[in-house]
Amino acid sequence: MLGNEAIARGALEGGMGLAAAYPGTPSSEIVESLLKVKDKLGIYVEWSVNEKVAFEVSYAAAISGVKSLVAMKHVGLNVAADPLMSSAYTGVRESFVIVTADDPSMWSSQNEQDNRLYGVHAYIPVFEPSDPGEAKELCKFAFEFSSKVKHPVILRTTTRLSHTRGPVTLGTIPRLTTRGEFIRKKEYVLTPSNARKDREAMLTRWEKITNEVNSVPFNRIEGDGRNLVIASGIAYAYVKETVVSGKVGDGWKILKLSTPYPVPRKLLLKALESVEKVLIVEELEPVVEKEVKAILYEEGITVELHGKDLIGLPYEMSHERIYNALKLFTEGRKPRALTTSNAKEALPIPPRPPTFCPGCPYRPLFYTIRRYLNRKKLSYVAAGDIGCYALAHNPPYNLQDVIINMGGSIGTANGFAHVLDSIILAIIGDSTFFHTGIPPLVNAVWHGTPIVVIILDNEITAMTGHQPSPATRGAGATENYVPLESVVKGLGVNFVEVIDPFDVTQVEDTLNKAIEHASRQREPAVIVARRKCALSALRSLRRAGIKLPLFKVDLSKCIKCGTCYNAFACPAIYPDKEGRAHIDPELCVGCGACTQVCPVNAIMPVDHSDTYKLQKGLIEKFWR
Amino acid sequence: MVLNIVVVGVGGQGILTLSKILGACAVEAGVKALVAETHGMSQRGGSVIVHVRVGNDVYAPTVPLHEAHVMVALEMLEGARYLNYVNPEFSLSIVNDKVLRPSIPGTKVPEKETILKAIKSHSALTVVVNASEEAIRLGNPAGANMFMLGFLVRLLEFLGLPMQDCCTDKLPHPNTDLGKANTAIFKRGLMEASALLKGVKEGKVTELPWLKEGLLQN
Repeated sequence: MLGNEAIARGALEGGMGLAAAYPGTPSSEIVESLLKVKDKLGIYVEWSVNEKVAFEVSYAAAISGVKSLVAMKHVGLNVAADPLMSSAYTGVRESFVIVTADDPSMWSSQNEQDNRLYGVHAYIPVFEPSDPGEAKELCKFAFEFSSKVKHPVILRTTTRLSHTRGPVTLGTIPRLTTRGEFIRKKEYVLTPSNARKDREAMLTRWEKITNEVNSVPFNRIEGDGRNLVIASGIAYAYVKETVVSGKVGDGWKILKLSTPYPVPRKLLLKALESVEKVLIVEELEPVVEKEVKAILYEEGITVELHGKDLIGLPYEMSHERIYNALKLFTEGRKPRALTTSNAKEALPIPPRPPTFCPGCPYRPLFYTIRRYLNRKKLSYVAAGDIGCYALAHNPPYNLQDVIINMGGSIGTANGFAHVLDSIILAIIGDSTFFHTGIPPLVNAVWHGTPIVVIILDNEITAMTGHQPSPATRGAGATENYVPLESVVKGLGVNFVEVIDPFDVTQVEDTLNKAIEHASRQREPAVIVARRKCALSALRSLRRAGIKLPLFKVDLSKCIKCGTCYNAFACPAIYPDKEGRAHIDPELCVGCGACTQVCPVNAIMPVDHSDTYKLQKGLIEKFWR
Repeated sequence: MVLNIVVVGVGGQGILTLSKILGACAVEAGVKALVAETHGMSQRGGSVIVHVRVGNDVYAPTVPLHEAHVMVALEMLEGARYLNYVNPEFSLSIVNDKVLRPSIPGTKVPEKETILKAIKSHSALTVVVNASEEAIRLGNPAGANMFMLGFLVRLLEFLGLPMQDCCTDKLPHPNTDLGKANTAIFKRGLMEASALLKGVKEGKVTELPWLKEGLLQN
């Protein structure tokens, strides 16, 4: 079971009746797997429009007596930080588990913030599992803990845990309570006078929590020796494996922590008995390290203590980091490399950053925008956003000069427009627009800010694995659908045009009109580029059993210009040694977008009989 | 004993599907297994590595550098990219005879022979297989992963984990033409590994000291 699936299972075993989330790698599979069983179990599960809303949905359930879960990636908790702080003040009537999936090494994120610090900031206890099996047990336990102390808890996972599959022992799922009762109490109304009382009540609960963590069964002392390693979360797995392997000798005592905050004081003091040296191993920030140092000072204990000085601060844990740190810790010097591979043949490997999939509607769109801007020699700034389309930052499109956070494209465009004389483009996806793109667009309407907003509407949250967005039509999502153009018009935008990104002429004409409109009328213009995500369209095609057409290059016509493989850059098209284009049948999905960009019409379907024409019409329906 | 496998290739080649089935069936065969995946960008044509670790002494999800017993490369350039996981003393590299050019303008891809030479020099034994070609021939152009799955399954069976039936049940798109093609490609992978294992049994293949019958049996 995937770590995230294990967390979902643990929530069900813990009695969860409601879950809400906004998708984000590495958290998405938690609610995705709950959605699969929601009807069977009669629970309520939703993708919310953003993390703040998801948090509030879940919080409301918890204060109504329904055990609930909210899940998000680490940066999602920034969006939900406002209600997070308040939830600790009010406390909850039933379990409220906040899952934050952190991303050390930034596999799929803009930063690697350590959300255990939100626990410190908000007075919320943090639980952290060490493998998928434990994630299930710990999530279940977190529900019990939260219910007992009437306080929200944070379950922190990381990419390597969320996206690792491992054995999980299943328990039973109890009867799930899905209906609650709201009991009016002043605690929930955070006016200043009530909030002051809540603050004091919270501190009383906190005292109980710091005591309770001493008896959390997932915290334990293993082995005996003069060297103590305190390891939290997945760091424990690496420490354990290194110690068990015998590569670092014996005499190790391990304090395994599943509650990095607050640190169980009594258990720590017990672990410290007859210990000479301490090493604290944790991913990212020194949360446990600082806690332990404070406790040692308060208890008047002096002991040699290491942590980030030997382990290092950034990025995820690795065998090599642990091995080097343990060697440094015991021997005081850096070890030789574990194995010396006689590095022969050091070959320069060209980089392979992720790219738009074959058939992606964004490829012809960005290709056309790039060509248009080059030809017109326009001075421009392209403010980008979070999603697959961020890949257009890479060559050959080079289109997105700023990408900072969800909704940041339209937000920063608002600012650029007031200090730069360039054309300001904001590029944002459908799901991201609904997440945090609406307020900055209202801002642009309100202040008459001349920007051109291109909403890339592939009708799905693509990058995180195809969760529905409010723009998703048809089966698989909820029946309701929120058309982007209506929303944008409703906000007061006068220029709104919906286009097909596969139609390069239409893209260019509309872009030209929008830029003129924004500059002349001094107000925002919005283009909605609508075509389904290739991966979801292809999935439906495959399900329907429709064979995709293949395309080929007529080599006698090809002029070796490279437009298709260099400027359009479809991964299915590659050059031979002479520079002539070829289409790889393993990668081509038959979208046919490339036929428009070839200046000599050398690209054509392998089979262009009448059957193909019929089939083309049928296939097109799956893309629109 | 922990058997370390890295599966590398290009996003979209079905690396997650392959690794997921492999891990699940290893667990069903009664041994601990961890599979560390790469998500998010993994279907977007980027470089992908998945770590598969099999054995009851496994705790951490990733394979230590230079400690992979097996590297499966669905694409040659990616095989060459992750050579820091293999070890010339014991690693088996199974390489698909396929080079995919990164779609960045002006990218120069080294010659196939040069890439292969680099992989060979870092591995104890390198086996080049026609997974893509066979997949196209047998009816699923995107089925090279099924070939590699078959190869690994036969290898793990040799090491003592019965998992062929489990895997056959889990192959994608059952009861469709695509599913039939997948089964056929999977079987081609099994056959290819059998040829290697025959060499091991006969004492002709001696480069892989860990490749012993029943090694992973409890």
